[in-house]
Amino acid sequence: MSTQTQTETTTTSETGVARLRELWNDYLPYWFIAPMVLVMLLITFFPGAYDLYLSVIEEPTFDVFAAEFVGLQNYATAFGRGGALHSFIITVTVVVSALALESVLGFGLAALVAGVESERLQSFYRVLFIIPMAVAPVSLATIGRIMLNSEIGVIPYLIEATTPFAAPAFLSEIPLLTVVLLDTWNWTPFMFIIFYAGLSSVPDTLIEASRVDGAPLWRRYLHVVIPYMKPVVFVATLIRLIDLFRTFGVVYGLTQGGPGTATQLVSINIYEQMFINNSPGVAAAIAVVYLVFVVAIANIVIAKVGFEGVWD
Amino acid sequence: MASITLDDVTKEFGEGGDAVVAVDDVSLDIEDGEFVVFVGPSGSGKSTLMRMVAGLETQTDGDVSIGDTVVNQLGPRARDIAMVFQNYALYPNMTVEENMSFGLKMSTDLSADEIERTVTETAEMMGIESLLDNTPGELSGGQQQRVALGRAIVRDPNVFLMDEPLSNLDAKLRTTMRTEINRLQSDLGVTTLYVTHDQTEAMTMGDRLVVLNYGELQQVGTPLECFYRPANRFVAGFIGSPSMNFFEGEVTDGTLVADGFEYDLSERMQANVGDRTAVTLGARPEDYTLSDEPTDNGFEVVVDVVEPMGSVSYVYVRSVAASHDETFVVEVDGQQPISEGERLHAHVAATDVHLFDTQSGETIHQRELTDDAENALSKPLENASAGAD
Repeated sequence: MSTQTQTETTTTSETGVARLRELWNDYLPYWFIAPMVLVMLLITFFPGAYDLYLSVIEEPTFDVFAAEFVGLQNYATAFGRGGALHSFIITVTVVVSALALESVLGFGLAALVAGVESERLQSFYRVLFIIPMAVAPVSLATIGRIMLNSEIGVIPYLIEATTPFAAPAFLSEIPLLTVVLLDTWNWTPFMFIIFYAGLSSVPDTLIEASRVDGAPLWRRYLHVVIPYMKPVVFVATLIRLIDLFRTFGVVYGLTQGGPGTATQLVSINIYEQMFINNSPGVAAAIAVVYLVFVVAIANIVIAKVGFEGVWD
Repeated sequence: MASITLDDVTKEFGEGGDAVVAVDDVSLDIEDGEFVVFVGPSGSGKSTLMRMVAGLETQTDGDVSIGDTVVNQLGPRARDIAMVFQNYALYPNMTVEENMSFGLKMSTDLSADEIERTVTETAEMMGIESLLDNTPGELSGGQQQRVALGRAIVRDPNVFLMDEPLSNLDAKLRTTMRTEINRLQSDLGVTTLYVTHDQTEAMTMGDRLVVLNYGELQQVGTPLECFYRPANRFVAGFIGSPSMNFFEGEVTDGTLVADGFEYDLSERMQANVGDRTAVTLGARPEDYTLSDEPTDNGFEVVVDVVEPMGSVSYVYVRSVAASHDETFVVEVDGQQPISEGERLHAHVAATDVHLFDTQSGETIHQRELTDDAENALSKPLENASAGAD
């Protein structure tokens, strides 16, 4: 309450109801956004602040003021013994390669399906290519473990039966690649469906104009279709980027971060610090750095590419 | 520059029993440098026909030739054509300059300098040089239209194809651009196909009209030929605004008896009618007169609605003797005082009457013209658009 309001209410000596009304009217915009601010505080600010608090104390206690403040010691542990840097590198590798694969494959599939003449066949493909997205992460991981198993897996069997190459031991020799491929299988449908919708929004006459202008197929895509779809491509990539940083279930179910720490994503590292090593301070420290890291990347992407409206 | 030949061109959409014939066995010769307008109502196949010339659709049957080359198997890229689309189809991510140079970059070996020079020259010709750095989204509809035309012109193609390029413009701009396209076409001398459903554009723009309906060729001729010498009832009704009035009737003893009036046929009419009985009389609104006095072959009408247009008025009248409520249009001088509900006598001179076979729709009797008008029709007009400039 401002001093101005106080002086006004005292000088005019109004009733309590009138004072309340005046309070309401004076701060009207603030009352309207108050519920949202409250929710934001509860679901975003409070967990964030609590995480920050956990990262600078020795061990959480019931009495928050009794906890021992240890400065940046948890951060030092996280990036020393905790292998946080390694996890960051693994995560970035997985995110970048999976995002690239999913975008390219998703776009390719979308372009192919959009080019199918028959309506019925087109909707069949649409449904077919969306199915992988509907598989739950843990189920996918379990299916993956069975199918990729060197002894009983159908995929190593098929490779050995149909090609002259020996099947690699997916989960022990090339675990990182396996994780990337499994995520690609799982999430390419997401890119597919968004790109497919984007492709459908490109006006036919625009493509016809570029055909008349003499552009070969790949140049039509490069100069006309993809630039037209830029907003769609951007939004899809951003959503998938943020989502990839949160990957946990599939990888944990498939490899539990192993062998060793070969597939230990940041999310898995945080989980293990918290629930296996019982070091909430270290887990919180990694989480704080990770949060800053992801928010920074998302903001850089938005600033660099920018949200642009759909073309008129 | 090139001529265009369509030889028994047919286009069907869909397969088997569901097939829709969009263009039905059309043959047409278009001369080098000619401005030909495809005109017809929606679904008449005029756009499909043009798209087959462009190579955007493949004909089910028949041959399309540009110049001496049969282009059936060639894509749009190899046909050396430029097209203007109804919604302009400018690339939204490119500036005006990039839009105009895109075709040159894609289909010629010109150096960047040459492309830039050509684009600048064309932009100056179209009066859009100040817009070169703008994107299409920043331009008004009229400016976009100019850019779309410029993009076609800069290519210096064999053939221009224009698919209803003016229908997204407001009425005033449409008139201006109509004149401008006419002027450009005669300056450049490039063979041009122009698709429209607007009979005013058709009349004022083309050297020749190709009138289509249900995918079939109805008539090919100069605008005035189509107007004065319609091949059938469809062309008679489609060309001219307001449309020709038609009255179906029976011919007995040299008199056409329609619902609401009788008309004594002249000797020449009777000779043309022969032994047909089901005959439709057609007369244009401007050929009727409305007067207070009864006349030969006239009949009494009651005025339903008057639409004053300024110099003329469109008067919707109904025959007093008719058993139905249908009105027909009469165009009268704008200064002639006529009010709704008034009773007058409508009359059309025997020289101005067209007769059609009611069953087939074929014209069996054409109106008479003055000698000068008749002579003008017998040779193709040098430039039908000259009057519109």
